[in-house]
Amino acid sequence: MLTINNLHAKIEDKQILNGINLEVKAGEVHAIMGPNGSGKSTLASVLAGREEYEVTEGSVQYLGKDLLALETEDRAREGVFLAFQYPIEIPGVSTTNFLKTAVNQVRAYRGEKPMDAVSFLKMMKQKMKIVEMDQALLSRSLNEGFSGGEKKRNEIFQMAMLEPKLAVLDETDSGLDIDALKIVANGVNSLKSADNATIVITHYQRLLDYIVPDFVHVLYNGRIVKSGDKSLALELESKGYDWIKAEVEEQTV
Amino acid sequence: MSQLDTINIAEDLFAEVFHKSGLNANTEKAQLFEAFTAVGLPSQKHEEYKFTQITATLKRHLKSANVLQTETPELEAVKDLFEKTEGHHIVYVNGSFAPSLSLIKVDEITKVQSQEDTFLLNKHTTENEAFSLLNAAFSTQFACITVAENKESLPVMVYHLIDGNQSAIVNPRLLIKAEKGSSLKLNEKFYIDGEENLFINNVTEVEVGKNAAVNITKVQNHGSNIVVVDTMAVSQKRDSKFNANTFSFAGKMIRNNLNISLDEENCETHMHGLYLIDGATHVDNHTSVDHKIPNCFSNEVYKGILDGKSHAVFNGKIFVRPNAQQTNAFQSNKNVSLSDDATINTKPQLEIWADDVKCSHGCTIGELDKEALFYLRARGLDEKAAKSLILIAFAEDTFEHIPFDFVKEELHHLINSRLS
Repeated sequence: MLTINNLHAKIEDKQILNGINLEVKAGEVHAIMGPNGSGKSTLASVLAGREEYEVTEGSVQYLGKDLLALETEDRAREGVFLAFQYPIEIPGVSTTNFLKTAVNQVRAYRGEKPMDAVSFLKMMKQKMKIVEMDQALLSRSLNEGFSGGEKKRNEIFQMAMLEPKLAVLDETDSGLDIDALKIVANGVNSLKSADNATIVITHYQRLLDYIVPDFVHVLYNGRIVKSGDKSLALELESKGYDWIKAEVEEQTV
Repeated sequence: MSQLDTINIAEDLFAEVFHKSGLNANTEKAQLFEAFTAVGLPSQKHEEYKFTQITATLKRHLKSANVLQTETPELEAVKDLFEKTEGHHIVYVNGSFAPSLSLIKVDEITKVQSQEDTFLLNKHTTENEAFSLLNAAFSTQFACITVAENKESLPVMVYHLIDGNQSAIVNPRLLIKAEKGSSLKLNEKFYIDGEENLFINNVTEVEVGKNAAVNITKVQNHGSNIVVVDTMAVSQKRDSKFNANTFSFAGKMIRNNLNISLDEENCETHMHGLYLIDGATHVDNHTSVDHKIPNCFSNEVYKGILDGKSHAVFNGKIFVRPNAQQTNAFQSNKNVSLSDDATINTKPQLEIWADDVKCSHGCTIGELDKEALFYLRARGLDEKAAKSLILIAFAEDTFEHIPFDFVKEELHHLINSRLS
């Protein structure tokens, strides 16, 4: 589904990604972990098409297409979803209001007919249950005055509405208490299928108790320096990141 | 040419028109015109007109001008409007109240009288102001709306029909008196025919009685042949409520003066405004709220979206006098600039002499929020749809206190057509 090959990226003059290689197949869950500043969020931003980042080398193939050549909105329409680490507040624009436009623009891109108001509402009601979302929240200004948990739940709710093939969750767990974390994780799990894939970016192992990854990768200095199964996450939890750093230093020397 | 020459030429022009109109034969009018001349048009350095060069603009704009006679215009268009909303329909033609063309329902509540004597209801806010004096000198027939005690008036629609086929100055004047416990909602709109240069010098005076409520909505969407000075002077009595909703979309130059005097306790005032402008349109909103006594509340929200070479000015004065303890006064002016060539001058001006008050103000000038744009695009919206969604929401935040659904719809269409 997704093949990242030797990806290099920078923001302004700061080189952040230094040759990332990653292969994600349909049905898989990949966790990307790493210390602060290792490039985790940059990777998510580059995949979603944030314009401040410049790809200097490498390629990203997604379902046979050159992902990096697509506009941000076309990536979304092709089925890439980024759950934001810090969901944006937009005064006056409600979730319901903008999602209706979003869903229909995605449908138009795929050559499907727009959804009528009744079907849209029905779909919303159904998806709201997944993350135990309150309808009143959805008619309020997007994320404005939402708690941390509400914002993250709203991200997963939108993911449910847009039914992506590749979901990238950028630190969706940070700042959540355990109850909110469970709701978010349950939401993600219930959306999982053999046809879609998930990349979970996180600093903490805790989330991976609930969203169990098939692969765990450690990102450090803009490169994946270690890959393994879920036991790697547990090892990182108990030993921290220092031993990885030490290992990397040794290799360089 | 010196500054003084510019002022003299502009004033001479008004004097010429004044004489041509024959109004100088009327002693009272002649005195008012003299008072105008004594105050004089604002110079380039006038603090309140620093960013709005009204005198120079008028001089260039009105090479020659007339006072238009009240003639019967094509009324069919307006008759249609009469159908659209229930209420009293007040028609002005070329700046003068035209009772015969108006449709005012006879009831015991709302009285609309035709006035010829010029009196200044709010002396304190208008008597030293050149444009109000100019208006007083020129205006010959105007409407005085009185709403009876403890009654709710039917909505009042004010239509200004103006013949723009010859260059002219137009001086409409409107007085509103809401008696104790009454309420009034009023909408004002202009219908201008013709392309010649006009100067519309509009004055509205409002007296909001004890426990009364007045809500006024204005939509300014003019051609580039129109220069406007719109002055609204409001005085509020105890427990009263006043709302002003001002929407400016186009014109050569528009200057709005909204002056509110809170004379007694427990008044509430809301001022909402939007300017959505492009091309070379210049819009200046000068507002002032004078908290003279304790326990009043005022809230002001003005928003601007600028494109092209447009220019917006906002100046919001809040005075809290020494005696006006427990005042709550809030002000916000937010601007989004879509063009590198647009200019915005914004100035909150709070003068607070009391010590136990809650006041806040904030003004921002920014571009469209890039993060918000990216967020929406990352959910599949194209850039255009994302932009218009954000801007329309930003603009329509000012709709909150418009009491007329048809006006909201009209504005919604206007905003949509501009921004999507």
